[in-house]
Amino acid sequence: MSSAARKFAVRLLTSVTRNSVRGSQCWGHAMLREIDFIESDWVSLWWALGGTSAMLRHSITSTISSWLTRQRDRGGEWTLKSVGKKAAGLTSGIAISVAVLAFSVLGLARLPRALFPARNFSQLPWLGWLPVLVIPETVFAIAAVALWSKRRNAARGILLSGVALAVHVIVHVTTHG
Amino acid sequence: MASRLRLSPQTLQVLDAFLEAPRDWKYGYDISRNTGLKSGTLYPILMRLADRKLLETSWETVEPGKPPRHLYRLTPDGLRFARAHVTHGVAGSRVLALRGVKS
Repeated sequence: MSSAARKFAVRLLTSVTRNSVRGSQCWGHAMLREIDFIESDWVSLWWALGGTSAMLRHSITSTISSWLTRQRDRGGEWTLKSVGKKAAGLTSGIAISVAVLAFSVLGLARLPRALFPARNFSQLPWLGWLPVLVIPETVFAIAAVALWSKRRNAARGILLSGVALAVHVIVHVTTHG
Repeated sequence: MASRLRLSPQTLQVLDAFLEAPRDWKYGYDISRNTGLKSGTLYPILMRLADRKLLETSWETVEPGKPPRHLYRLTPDGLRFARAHVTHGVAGSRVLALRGVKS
């Protein structure tokens, strides 16, 4: 059992090292080599688990930082500041979509009953889809097209929300019938 | 570069371990045992120190057929940095202290 723990430790760290970015690999080999000098098999397993976490963090950090450097060298489009700006644009697009959806579901869904109180709408099941899917998705599509040239990130946020809503409806329909 | 290093208590512990014998090369597992830090904490610190040229690394040349072992030692800059941020208390006990550095 104990030697199995050591074997697993070595396999885990070897695999993580092999699949990590080139700059991190020498650190993986360093940690891997130390396992041979750890007396307890279980301590070696904890060593490997800690090493795995260190390697993953280092790989992620190096990948993000080298990607940002590459993008900056390419024309300065993706600095940390610009990433923040893009994230703000995307968030505003999502916020707009949520507001539209809330207005449609909470307001427009009640409109037919308010306008025609005597009419029985339960015979028109498709009517329920208008405020929760058709109207919001139409508004999203129009807004995304209108904003695409001037506020592309907000438009992307709206499109993202539209896709999320569509996926949600599909999943709901397929699971609930 | 060194000024941007996050000087956590664990980083100070590692620097302190190097200061015990500044000229000697040390193994990762030995540092881990001396400081009580796990590999998941120790190695990110070593990586950051090496990235900032405060730590030099080397592969130990051992007998043929056996994989080499990684060794660590503070660079002259690292030594100055460590001495500036790790203070020694009275009666031989080491006291770790932050000197106006963000932790």
